[in-house]
Order: sequence, then C-alpha cells, then structure tokens
Amino acid sequence: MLQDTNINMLQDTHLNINRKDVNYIKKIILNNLTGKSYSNKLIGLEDQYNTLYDICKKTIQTGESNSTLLIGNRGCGKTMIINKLLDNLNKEFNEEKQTFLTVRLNGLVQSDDRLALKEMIYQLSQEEAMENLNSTSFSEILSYLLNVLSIGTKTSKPVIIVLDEFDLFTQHNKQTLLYNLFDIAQSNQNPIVVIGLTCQLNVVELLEKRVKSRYSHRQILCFPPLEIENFEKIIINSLKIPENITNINENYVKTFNNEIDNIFKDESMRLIINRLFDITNNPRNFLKICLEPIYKLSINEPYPKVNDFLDAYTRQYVDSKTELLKGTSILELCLIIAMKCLLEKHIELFNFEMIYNEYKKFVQKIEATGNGREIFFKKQVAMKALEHLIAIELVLPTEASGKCPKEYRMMKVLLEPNQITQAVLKHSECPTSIKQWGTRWL
Amino acid sequence: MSIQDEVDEQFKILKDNYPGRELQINRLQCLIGDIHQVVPPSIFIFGDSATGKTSIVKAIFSKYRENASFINCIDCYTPRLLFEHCLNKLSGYVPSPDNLYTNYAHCETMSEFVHYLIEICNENKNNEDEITGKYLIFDNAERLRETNPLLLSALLRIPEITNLNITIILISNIVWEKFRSQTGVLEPILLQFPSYTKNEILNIMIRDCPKDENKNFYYIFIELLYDVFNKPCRNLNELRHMAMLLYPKYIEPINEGKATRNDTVKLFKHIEIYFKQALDKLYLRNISSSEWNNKSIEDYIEPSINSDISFELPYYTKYLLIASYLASYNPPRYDLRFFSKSSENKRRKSRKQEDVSSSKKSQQLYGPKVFPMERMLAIFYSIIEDPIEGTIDINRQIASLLTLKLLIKIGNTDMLNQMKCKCNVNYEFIQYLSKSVHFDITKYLYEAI
Repeated sequence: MLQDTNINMLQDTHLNINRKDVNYIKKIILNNLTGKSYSNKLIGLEDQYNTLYDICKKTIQTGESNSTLLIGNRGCGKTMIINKLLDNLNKEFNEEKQTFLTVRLNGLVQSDDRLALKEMIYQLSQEEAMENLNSTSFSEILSYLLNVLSIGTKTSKPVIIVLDEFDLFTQHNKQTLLYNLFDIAQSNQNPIVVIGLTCQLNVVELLEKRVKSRYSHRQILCFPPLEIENFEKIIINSLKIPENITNINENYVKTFNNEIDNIFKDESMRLIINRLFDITNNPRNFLKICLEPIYKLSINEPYPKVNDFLDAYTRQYVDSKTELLKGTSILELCLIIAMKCLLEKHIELFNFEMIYNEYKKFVQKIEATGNGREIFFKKQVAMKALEHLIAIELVLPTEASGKCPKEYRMMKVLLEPNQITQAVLKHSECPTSIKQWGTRWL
Repeated sequence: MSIQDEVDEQFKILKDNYPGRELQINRLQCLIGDIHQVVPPSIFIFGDSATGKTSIVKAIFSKYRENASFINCIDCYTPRLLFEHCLNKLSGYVPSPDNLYTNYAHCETMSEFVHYLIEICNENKNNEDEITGKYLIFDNAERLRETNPLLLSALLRIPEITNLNITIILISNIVWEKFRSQTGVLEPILLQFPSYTKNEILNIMIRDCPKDENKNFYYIFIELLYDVFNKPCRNLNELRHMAMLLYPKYIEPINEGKATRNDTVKLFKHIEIYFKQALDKLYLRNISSSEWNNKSIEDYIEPSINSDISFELPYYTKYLLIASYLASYNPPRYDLRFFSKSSENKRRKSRKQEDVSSSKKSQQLYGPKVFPMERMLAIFYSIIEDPIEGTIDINRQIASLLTLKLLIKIGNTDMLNQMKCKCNVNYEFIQYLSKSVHFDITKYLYEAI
C-alpha cells in the first residue's frame, strides 16, 4: 500500500491536478451518491425499466391508458428507475414540442386528496386556474380536474402520473383520488398512465373493492441486489467517473478510476462490504459511508483512501447507546447496574424506590472496604440522575406522570444486559468495585 | 468579504474556542464547510447534553446568512410555526411593524412548504454553474416525532423530492434508533459529540478563570471541584455553575488574611463544608444562587432539619393525610391489629423484622395502594388523640387535599364517600408531618422503613 501511494504522489506532480478538476470530480460523484443525477447506469433493473418504458411509450405514441404498480424494498432503486425513465422520455419526446405531461405526487407531502388535486393542477401548469381555485371546495376542484382530464379524446396530450409512497394514498378518505385516476385510465378518456411506487407487498389489498376493480393489476417487482457482485457493482459504479467526460484532466480521471478499483480490492474493504451485505442489501447504506471520504478529497489528497472508508464505517455502525453510556457519571452508571440486577431477578418493570434499594444494598456491601460512602448519594440526587437517564431515553416510564408519587412511577430500561456490561467495561473513570458489580454474571 | 471567507474564518475561530471538539468541527467542515458544493442530504448530530452540539452548529451557521435556517423545535411546536420560521429565515424576511408582523407566506402543509422552498431557492439562483447549498437545521429534533409521525420522514426526503441542493441537519441528545419509524426514514450521516473527558472538562473550565487570578491556583481549585462532583454529575454546565458560585467561598480565607495561596490544605478544609452543602442545595436547585451567596457560614454548619420541606397544613388535615398514608401503605388485613381500640396492647407491635426479608420484594417499594374513603376515615378516627369537639367539615378538608394533589383520586366518581384514593406524598414528608403533631408513625406502619 505504501508503495502505491508513493507512486501516486509521483504521478500527481506530472498530472498537474488543479482545484477545479478536484471540485468537478467531487461534484459528479456526490451527485451520484445523493441521487441527484440520473445519468447513473441501472444495474440489475434493466427489465423493470424496459417494461415501464414500453408502457409509457405506448401511451405517448398511441394514446393507450394504463395503470401499474412498482413494488420493491426501500432503496432498491424504484425512484431511480422513474427519474431515469422520465428523463429519457423527456429527451425523446419533449425535445422539440411538448407531447406529454408529467405529474409527480408523494404520499408524504400530499397528505390528503385536496392537496394532491391542487398539486396536480399546479403541475399541469395551469397556474391561472390555480388562483381561481384557491378558495373553492373540494368537489369543485375535483370536477374541474375531471373535466380537464376527461374531455380529451385519444388524441389529446397524454399524462404520466407518478404516485410515490402509494400506500399512503390508500389511506385517504374514500380513496377518491385513486378511484378517479384508475377510472380515467380504464375508460378510454384522456390517455394517462398511473404509476404507483410502494414498498408494501400487499398494497393491492388496501384498495377498496370499487378501486381495485378499476386497477389493471399489473405489478412490476423490483429486487435489491441478491448477489454481492451486483451490490459491489452498484457501489463502484457510483464512485467512478464516466470516461467520456470532457473538459477535465483525462489522466486524473484515469488514475482516479484505477484508485477506486484498488480500494475495493483491499482486504479490510472487502470485509466491511461483506459484513454490510449480510446486514442489509440496500446499497444506499453503503453509499452513505462513501460520502465522507469523497467530501475529504482536496487538492492535496486527490484520491480517496481505504482508511477513510473504514473510519466512516465504524462511525456509522458503532453501538451509539454504549457510546452514550460511556459519558455518564458514576451515579448514573450505578443506577443502570442496579436496573440490570433487577432484570436478573426477572423484574422487568420497576420504580425508582426499587432501583435505589438495590443501589443501597450494593453500597452497604462494599462499605467494609471503606469506599462505600464516596459513591453513596441522597435520594434526591439519585432522582435527578435518573431523570437525566429518562431524558436521554435510556429508561422509559410506562405510566403517565401524576398518577402516583414520581418515586413509584413504573419504568423499564431500554438496554440489553450485555450493553450495560460493555458500557461498564469501557467506562473510563469507573472504580474497580463498581466494575465488578456491573460485570458480575448471574 | 464573501460568505465562504467568513465561514472559513469562523471554523478557524471555533477550533480555538472549543477544546476537545476539534475532530467534530473538522468533520463538520469537511461535510458542510464548502458552501458551493453538493451538500449531503441529511446529517444527524447527537450526544449527551452539554457537549457543545447546539452552540457549535449555531456558531457555524451564523455566518451562512440567508442560506441556513436554525430552528429550535421546542419553540416551533406545530408544523405551521416550523414551516413559516424556516421560510422567513431562508428568504431573509423579518416580521416587523412595517409589514404588520406577517410571515413570508402562510404555510400549513408539507405540500405548500415544498412549493415555497422551491420558489425561494430559484429566486436566489443567480449563476447557472455556481450552486449554493441550503441548510435546514432543527435543534431538539426529538420533538419532531411528537407532532406528526410523517413529518420527520417527509423532512428527510425533501432533498430527494425537490431535487434541490439542500441539507437537513438534526440535533438531538437521543440516539438515532429512536427516530426510525415504519414509513422508512432515510438514514442520515451520524455525527457523534462524545462526552468530554476529565482533561477536556478541566481545559474548558480553566477558560473561566478570573482575569486577575493565577491560572495554576485556579486549576487546583477546579480539579478539586471536579473530583468531588464528578461522581453524581458530569454535566459541564452544572460544573461551571458550581465553580462560579463556590470560587468566592474558596478564596474567602485569603481575602480575610487567614491563609495564603500556598495553604492548599487549609483552603481545602475550609471549602469542604461548602462542597457538601452545594450538592444538597445548589445542585438540586433548592435555593437560588443569590440566596447561596448571601448565606453566612453558620447556616451551612448547622443546617436545620428538613429545612427543604416548608409546608403548613391545619391540624386535622395533617392527621387526615397521615391516615391516608397508612391506608395506602398498610395491607387492609392488618388494620384490626393496628387500629382496633379493644386490642390496645397488641396493636403496638409493628411487624418490622419478620416479614420483610421473607417476601421476595418488599411491598413498600411498589408504592401506594388504592384505598376506599371509608377505610381512611376509620383510620383517621382511630389515630386522633382526643375526640373531635364540635363539627369540622372533614369532607371539605379531603377536597382540599385532593386539589393540592396530596391525595390522588382514582376513577371518575365525584361523590366523596364512594371515592377511591391514593396517597401522593413520600415517607420523608409524612415523617415530618407526624413529628409536627407529635404522632409516632412507625408504631402503625406495617413495614418500617
């Protein structure tokens, strides 16, 4: 490795990399990683893309209406397919003259039908109509939109409607929007395609009967990469610079791409890819790790380093609860260990008095060694410490406050006994006696 | 000076001003320091309280002018407040008398918010090639979970939905696991602010050293303070608060000419009594800082017993409360033994030793039990010394105890004689009350504490 970097250093002086090049490369890769660019190659999703492309093309060219659902896990590339599809269709059919319209809605943003309808009208670029509609009722907006969409014949402009988070739309009152959209798609009115994106497999069951019967029952399933090779390909692909890019130092691009290949051949890098793939096959999680090493690129360090990736990985996947516990005071740690003792006695729900009692017992036991006084505190002080633990949600009260004195409010601890033991071992200022108490195995 | 220069300058200043946070500031600079690059979609900053999260982030973004909006989610507790404040800050709109304190726009839903956001970002765009990042910062982000379960997922998806160069920064003292919901929150980049180590805490506290004071002398004082207080409390803010109030007491002997600066042992002996009191009084906020400063040394040496309970009730009301405590903590089946007038000699025996150790978990620890009103009244008439002369309105006393929340009503009935209650005071309080009416509560308690 050392030799490699030395060679690179030598090359750098020849390559003459300037700040503009580095920033340009950073911009391309970051756009890839954050999903802002659509130029990325689709890997393992070509079939799904082609099916959707055919459907849309038929609508645009022959005025055939359709409805379909794109179902797949989070982060498997549904939105990317749509982004790419719309981008390509725009290039193909809307370049000279606008031949079709798009409407994109998101269930998270358009949380009811009224908002969704308004947004649709807005996106169909009828802004002047928008102003008149601001104060009108739901039924008026609906009938207006239906008019717009249904007076057309097969020759009117086709509309592609994308509904992101489709399952949330099914929760809207009476599913009016879905009913009407599917109805238009089924009866030969204005040509439209309705594409719903969701990660819920049983989404069809959420549709009401009358809505279901109007839906075409076409489903396209997306899968996250099943083989680690594909998983890796997706990641490497987003980190590389396309060779055909001009106006940039070509040699730099070449060495950069080589360097990326080298990084992914590294032993420890392979290890974390494998480990992550075992936890989740959502590539987005790995791309997130890549963000920081790429942000670090600068004119002095124009290539990412394996260590940066490893650092980013450990930071992202460290057990944050144990980390949080490391910084607690001795008293708080004692209270948590007391809770662990209660758990070992199979008492899952406890109150402050019980915890304090357990803590007191421990202090009495070590009193003989002479350092018991030092770690023993009054009830009120311990109560304040416990309230801090509740505030950082390591302890969760199970009763509403005000039902009984707060000392007797029942609560449970949101930590595994194992996590507590780890935290005690890692705590820097913990006295030996407490360490023994905390790590004692039943 | 351009924004970028100011930002770079600010980062440099911050690194000097926050010892022990260099790593975190460097990471932040790496991620958001360059205002003209593609920004990360979301960052989650977390760590225990008093680790510098808010103050560092706030200081950084104070230089970003209209490109950042810093929102405290405790202030903006409804979506509408949240959205409108964000828009005001990003557009540079300031509510003032001239515009009748209106906001940039009326905005209640996520849908409208996304629209206005795009509008603002497009307005400011002057140069095609040059991109500028926008930053939405939400402090105390754990509150976002309470308003609307979809709000957080939607906020984190704003960069994806709008396709703008925008980043969402959440600050919280809770770990990220608690934010996940079933609607699929996009995972942000995690940035931890770990708790300070001992050396870091001392390095920060030495910065509070008074101007005319010797640094080494002050260091001895704060190290002493840390060693005493770090067991119950490692919160930096609390420690600094203590140091500020305790330091004048520490140098008192020097000012009075009784000791010199080198008499560390003498000074330690002097301050020791204050340290003990500070934990009981100052840390628990039982007295205010000004009260603390004005108190004389004698007050600390002979603290009055139970001085922190300052509460007065009428004579019979006290007995009522004691009766309710007994009803809550004694099992009903032993009532006959404790309170029956006939078995005068038997009742004095409380069951101190025998039962407590044998039961798996003492019942006392589970808190007050519910009791019917008749039982409490029966106990009440049994424990008062002399029969009540004339008529006192017992019911009114009970009602006032209920309003004071010393008794808690269980169930919905408003009829006093059918009501079931719980006693809501702790043992220390009831002990204090019994002492004031010369009543020995330990004789009547099933399990003595």
